[in-house]
Amino acid sequence: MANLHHPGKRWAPVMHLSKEGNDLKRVACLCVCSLVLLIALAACAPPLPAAVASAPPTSAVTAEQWAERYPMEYAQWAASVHGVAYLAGDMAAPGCTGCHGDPAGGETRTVPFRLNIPAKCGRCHADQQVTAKHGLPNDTYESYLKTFHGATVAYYRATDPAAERYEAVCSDCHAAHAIHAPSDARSSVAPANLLRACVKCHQGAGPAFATTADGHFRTDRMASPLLYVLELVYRIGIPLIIGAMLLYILLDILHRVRSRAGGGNQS
Amino acid sequence: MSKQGNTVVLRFAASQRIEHILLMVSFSMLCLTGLPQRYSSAGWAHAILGVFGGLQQARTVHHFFAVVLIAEALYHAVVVVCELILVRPRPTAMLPGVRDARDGLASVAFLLGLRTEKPRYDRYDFRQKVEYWSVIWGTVVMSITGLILLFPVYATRFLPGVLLPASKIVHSYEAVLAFLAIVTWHLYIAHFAEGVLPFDSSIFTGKTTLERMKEQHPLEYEQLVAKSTATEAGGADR
Repeated sequence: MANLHHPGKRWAPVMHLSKEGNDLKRVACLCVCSLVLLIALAACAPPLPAAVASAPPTSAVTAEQWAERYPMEYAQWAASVHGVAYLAGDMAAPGCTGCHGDPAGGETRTVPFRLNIPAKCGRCHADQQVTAKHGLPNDTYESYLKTFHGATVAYYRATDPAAERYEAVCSDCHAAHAIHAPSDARSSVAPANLLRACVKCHQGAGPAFATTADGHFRTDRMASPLLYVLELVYRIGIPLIIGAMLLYILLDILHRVRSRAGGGNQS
Repeated sequence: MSKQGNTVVLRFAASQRIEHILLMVSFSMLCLTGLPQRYSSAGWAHAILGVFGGLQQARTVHHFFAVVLIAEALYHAVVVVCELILVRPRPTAMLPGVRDARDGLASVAFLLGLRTEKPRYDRYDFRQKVEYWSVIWGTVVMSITGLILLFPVYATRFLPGVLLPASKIVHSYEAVLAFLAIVTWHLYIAHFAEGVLPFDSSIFTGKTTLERMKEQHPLEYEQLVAKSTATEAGGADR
């Protein structure tokens, strides 16, 4: 095999450590080869497991017992979009045990419980059948994970579930029990209430901040034409620019190969 | 190689070499701490973020090197403006022009075998200018969008809210573009292009040889020789 660094000599893996060439060249070779190795290793890394939470363990506590122990939370839930559907007989709608385990365990006060909230909501809101049945957007969970909040929470849930994080989870904006459709004036994320939800964490935020819609990052044409166009420009532009660069480099390589095969420099 | 060909000439001043090192280190660290944030759900991104102690720590390192890059960029801007005002003749070698477009086309024609001679370059060839102006564009765009993302509450006091997600898209895609451009174009120019393999050390040592200048920047070489001849003739006349 040819030695790229020292033409005329055979390639040797220990070349980087040899005393041939000057130090600067060896450092440069090492950097370039390390970069190539890093990219190759990164491409081989295994994907992470699915991000949606598993169903909580079945609880023996009845709805009546929940109502007795947590009357305020129960009343908020019963009036919510989930509670109304559940009490009307839609058993697929989340009841108390749909999100909580046994209340005696005190799990809601633990750090992993908080980090797990989006993945719990995602069990239904990322399920295509459930969202289609109820006429809900099917990208609610995915679009949350694309935000600063969602990406951070998902990272720590996967790597360090005991980490205390303050990035917003679903219940911080949509409330834990009093959940209503955003079009409902009672909803904490209704247009009139949204800024109030933001300033709980982002003190000093103004009305423009609430219009950033950063709770869910959507770039489709209907949701945000500007973001759609921006993303489209990059998705087309990057392959074009990098493709043109690669094409030029390829032409140069072919020219050099041809010149060597021809036995001389054509320039 | 002739004795004259081995003559060493200064190509980059010490301040320019320091600027390059600052740019190289800050850009590399920004890529290393930024790209895994873009792909934070991937296994390889977790591995890299883990090296820094986690996502939060990687963000802190990212912000530190962003400050280094912005400071370097501001210094460069001040130097360029001062030189354009104070130095005569004006140092305009890096300004792009019609000639660069012509050189680019001529270079492609040469590589395709449609021309027998390579285009003759001045101090900077069109490939180097593409890279320099890409860095300028990238630094300005990344600095503005990065500051908007870092201070969202403050930014939305003056700017429309939609600029926040727009900044996120631009910052994220521009980072990918910059990384790919460096991995392809810069590595090619600085490491694999004809005459520089395994790499062009002049940006680190500041020096190049007359032989190399004659080969890669013939117009600059001719100007240097003409200037040198004129100086010698002037000295002999006196």
